[in-house]
Amino acid sequence: MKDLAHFKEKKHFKHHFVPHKERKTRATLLKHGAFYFYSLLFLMFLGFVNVSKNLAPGVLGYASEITIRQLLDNTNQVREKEGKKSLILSEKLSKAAEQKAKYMFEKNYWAHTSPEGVEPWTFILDQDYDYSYAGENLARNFYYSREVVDAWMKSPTHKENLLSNNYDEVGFAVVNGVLDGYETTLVVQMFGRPKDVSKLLTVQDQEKYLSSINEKIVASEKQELLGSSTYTIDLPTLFRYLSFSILGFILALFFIDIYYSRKHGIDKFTGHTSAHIIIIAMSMISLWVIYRNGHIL
Amino acid sequence: MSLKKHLVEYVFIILYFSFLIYFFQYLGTSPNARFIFAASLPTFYLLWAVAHHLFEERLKLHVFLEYLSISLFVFIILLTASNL
Repeated sequence: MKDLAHFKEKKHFKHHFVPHKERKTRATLLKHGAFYFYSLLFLMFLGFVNVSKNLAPGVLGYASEITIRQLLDNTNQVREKEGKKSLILSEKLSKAAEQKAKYMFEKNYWAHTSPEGVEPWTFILDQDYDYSYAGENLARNFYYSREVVDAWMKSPTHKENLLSNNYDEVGFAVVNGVLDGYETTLVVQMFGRPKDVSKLLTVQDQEKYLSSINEKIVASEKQELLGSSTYTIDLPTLFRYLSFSILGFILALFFIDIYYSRKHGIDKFTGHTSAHIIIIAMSMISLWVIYRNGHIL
Repeated sequence: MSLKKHLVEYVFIILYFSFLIYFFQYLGTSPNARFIFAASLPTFYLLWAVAHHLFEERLKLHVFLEYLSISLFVFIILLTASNL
């Protein structure tokens, strides 16, 4: 009796993953009840995130891996590849870039010129940087510094700025904030050549400035409100792992469903497994696109 | 329904989804576009499933619920991902 019970239990467990031959139904983990459960799991995750944000501010939030040092290195790498001289990081241009990024969050716009007509040069001049040449590149929704520079390099106008011989100095700002109701990271890159060549910066000036700045992303408005400058757990990354794991697991179960049903000649009266595979695979592609949805301007 | 017809329908679904994803890349920063994108994929899938099974004369409640549950799940995942 014990053996029979054990056998039944084992058989029952197996049907969480493979179709029921006798009942001619899908594996338990692929039934619609299971999908409602998965949906509930994600809703609970969202609820947990919202509660955590209030109860433990600074732990969960939006964060990216972009740093000023990496942006500078990547910019100079692409310039060196094209035989151009390296740009020197300027404190004034970086401050101008930071002011520009904060202004875009404040006025909730995403453009070189604000709706009120404020141009990028205003921020540069505000830092007492008298230039003979100046330029600006913008990026948002990227996670890594390399992706930002690669995206600029793919656009002819941004590439022109990156590789221009008219610039000697560059400034960066990486600012987190809320734009159009969503948390995002804005990257502002400002190029310049001072009118007075005697004011040209040296590598020593650059190193001095680099050592003085925090390599982490500049604190966002929201983070400041939360009383913390950095988040312990990056929410999009956490969600990305969770969603890809569950979708991958479901996709694998659907493939097992097809294989097992064919092997055992199970003719189920259900929806089309191939169609389900398509929608799950497309969802994974969509998630990939959402997480790679960086924009440049 | 023949295998060929099924394949044609699947290719149509894939093309439509690919178009949506491509479109999203350009309008993904707008909150409305994000919601429309998250909703349009599962909605289209559910409508396609209903039409397809009606045409095949095998639309039953449990088949509809199967598509509904998967569509709801996909919607929640996409909406959450585009809002984080």
